[in-house]
Amino acid sequence: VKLGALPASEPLRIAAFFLVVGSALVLFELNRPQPDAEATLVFWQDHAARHPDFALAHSRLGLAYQAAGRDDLARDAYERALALEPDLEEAAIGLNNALRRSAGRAASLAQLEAYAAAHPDCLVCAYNLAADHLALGALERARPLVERALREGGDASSPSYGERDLRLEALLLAGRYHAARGERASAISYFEAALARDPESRAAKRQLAQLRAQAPLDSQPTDP
Amino acid sequence: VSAGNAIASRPTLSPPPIVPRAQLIGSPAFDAVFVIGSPLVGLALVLGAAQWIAPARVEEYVLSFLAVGHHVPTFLRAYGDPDERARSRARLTWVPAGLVLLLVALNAVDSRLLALTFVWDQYHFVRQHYGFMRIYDAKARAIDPLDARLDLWLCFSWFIWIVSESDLYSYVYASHLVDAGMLPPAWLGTGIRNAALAIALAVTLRYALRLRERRRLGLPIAWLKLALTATTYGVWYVAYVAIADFTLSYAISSCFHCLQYDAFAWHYNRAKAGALAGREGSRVFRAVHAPGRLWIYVACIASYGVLSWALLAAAPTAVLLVNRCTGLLHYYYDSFIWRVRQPEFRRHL
Repeated sequence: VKLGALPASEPLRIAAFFLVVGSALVLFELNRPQPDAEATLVFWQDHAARHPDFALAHSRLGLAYQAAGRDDLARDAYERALALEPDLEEAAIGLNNALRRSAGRAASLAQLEAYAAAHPDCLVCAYNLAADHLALGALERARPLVERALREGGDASSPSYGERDLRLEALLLAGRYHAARGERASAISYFEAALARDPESRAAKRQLAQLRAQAPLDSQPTDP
Repeated sequence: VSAGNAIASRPTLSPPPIVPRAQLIGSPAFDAVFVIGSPLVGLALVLGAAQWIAPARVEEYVLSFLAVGHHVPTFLRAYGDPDERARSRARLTWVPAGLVLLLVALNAVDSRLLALTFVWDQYHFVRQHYGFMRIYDAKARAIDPLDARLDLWLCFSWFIWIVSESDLYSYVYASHLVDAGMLPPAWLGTGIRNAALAIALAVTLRYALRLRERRRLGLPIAWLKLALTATTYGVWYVAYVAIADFTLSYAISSCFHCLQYDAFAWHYNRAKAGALAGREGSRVFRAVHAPGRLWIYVACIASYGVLSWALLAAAPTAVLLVNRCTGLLHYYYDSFIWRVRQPEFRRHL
């Protein structure tokens, strides 16, 4: 490009700049490489080896192990992170997810309840605990956690959690709670609210389909 | 504070020596507390606060009240000073408009890309330090393009080495890149660290030889910029590498960066406001920077920080987007509103 061909006036140069930057970002977004779990794992293995005393590096390595389907090694990495930094929420949540898959809900529940007791500000803990209690049928223990999720849930973003819509997850938890109690009308209203928030939510669609396949509504919606 | 190139050609004769008092930006106490000693003040404030408040809370307060608030002096100068407004009218009008559109679009498409602006934040830290070096050179009449280039290489090579040595910042850069879909090669971290150290050592040696040469030729040396470099890089090393609690790292660095910026902007703008007496379109600028009105200036800075902090829970996405937008404009505007090579700027130093 010849310099003489560039727009002469400053507003045009500024517009051209934003056009170029915007186009570059669109092109990048369209051609963004898909993350390769093995290559990502090698990267974080190397990173954690170069920063052996840094808890976040080990927590991130745990996530990479999980993504590669190696839960036992993920547990080791998360435990190393927690040994270095016992308050690290990402590592506690990561260990909880790894334990749920590799050792079962009882083990994951025990681990996270201990962490949550020492860290009452941990909101994501409330979500995971509520999900575990619901899965184990402990509805009364799930109830205050679901209420907290509905009260405090917003948007959350963390390398370890990814982009999470905690409001959506709170609505799904509330729907599951009411469904487990047999309160179909309330359950349907929460799943519909979840679907309104995210029309692509497969969990909400699946739950709604199951509930609607059952008998007609027998009650008005109630709050948990 | 940022600066462009040095402002004069290589001197051929030894200029008369500048008395030490005239080499200061403000009073001895001002320079000691808010410029040269500012890194030590920031370190003491943050570590002191962490004795009483949880480190994560200290970081939250520094980010909310200092880091966000210190965007305000940029806007006061960019839009309040009629000379700056006239000089940069197109940029001050069209860049914010384009940036708002870009940020909203980016946030809608993939907000992870926004995190990459962190690189500009760190670059901006170094440019501010380099800007102060240029100011001290100008004050000591130790201006020379070669020395300006050596300063620049010294600033960036040591900073990149410190960042690459830092557990926290290596992690922050690595995770931002990976999250944005750009997996760096595994050797990159070690490669950057070794290259930065080699360059930093070579530049430091060349720098020392150049200082000896200047001394031999009887050319002035801005000792204050060397003192500022020692405190800044010493504290950066402590904050980024030596301190184990990573929640305090950014808080220390941000705290002294903001103290320096707010104090310098107040000092400079006050002088400029005095020179604008009676000028049309400068009423707000003069009102905020009039003698005895420091409280208005502080209130402007604090109100933006407090407002953002108070509204964050109610509308996190909107508040973070607004903060990100003012932050990016702050980085960009700083690249031209404090140019030491600008004669009009030097007049009020």
